[in-house]
Amino acid sequence: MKLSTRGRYGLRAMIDLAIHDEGEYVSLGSIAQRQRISLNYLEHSFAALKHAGLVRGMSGSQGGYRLAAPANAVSIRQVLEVLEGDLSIVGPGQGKEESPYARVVRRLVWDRMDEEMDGVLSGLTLEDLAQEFARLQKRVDK
Amino acid sequence: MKLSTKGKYAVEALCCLTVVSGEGPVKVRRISGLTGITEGYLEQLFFRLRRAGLLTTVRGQKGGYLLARPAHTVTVGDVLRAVEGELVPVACIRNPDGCPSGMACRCATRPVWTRLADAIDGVANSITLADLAASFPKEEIP
Repeated sequence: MKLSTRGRYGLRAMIDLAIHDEGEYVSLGSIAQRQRISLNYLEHSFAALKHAGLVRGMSGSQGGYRLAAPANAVSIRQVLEVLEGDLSIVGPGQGKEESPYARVVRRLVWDRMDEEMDGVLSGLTLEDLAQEFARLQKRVDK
Repeated sequence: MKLSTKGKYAVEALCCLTVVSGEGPVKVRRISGLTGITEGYLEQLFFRLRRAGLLTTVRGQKGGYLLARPAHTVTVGDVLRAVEGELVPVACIRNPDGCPSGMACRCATRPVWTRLADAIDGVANSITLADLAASFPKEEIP
């Protein structure tokens, strides 16, 4: 089971944005540098995040991105859904094409995993992670 | 985030094996016919499951595969780990040195992946093959 780099890098960049959003637009270049992610890669992800209404962009020399909503109102699930698409653990079922064994396993295992993951991702916001990161940073810098 | 086909098919195949194993050793051909998973793919999965100590083989004309342990002692987690390795959405969860971006302990997203991995493990380790077989609809038992 793997999460794509698009989801991993994109979410890291969004947390960085939440941390550095102090009322001004944050340049993608600075996020790329701090997070060691290629700028080109971030540009694609942020175009998708902007399209989904999670960030606002401004062009120009003072331009960059800001969160469209307060960080405590954006769940990690919302961000990953834009970056990864379908978040279910095995993808949608094939209905009648599935064997009865596949249907039992789906109902008892995969659907429950999806529920549990959904609980984790819906229950965490960008602000939660920004705060957790700030605590981590303090420990590392000591 | 996706589990590989290997993991999905391994759980389905062992669910099937558990349901029909009252008959004695089960041939790959029979499981293939019941689940729709190709014989070649099942052979590969069963090789790994046998190496992991979850399956045994019986030789001879009436030979085939059997669970190496009682079904109520084999969890979905055991099966998934045997064919997938660690059940983690991102490699660094159980091994921070495996961080491809060099962020390691300064990574803002690692708490999300750790919580997801725990949620998935929790479900996988709480369901056994006996649970799956017990939920299999009686009218579908071949």
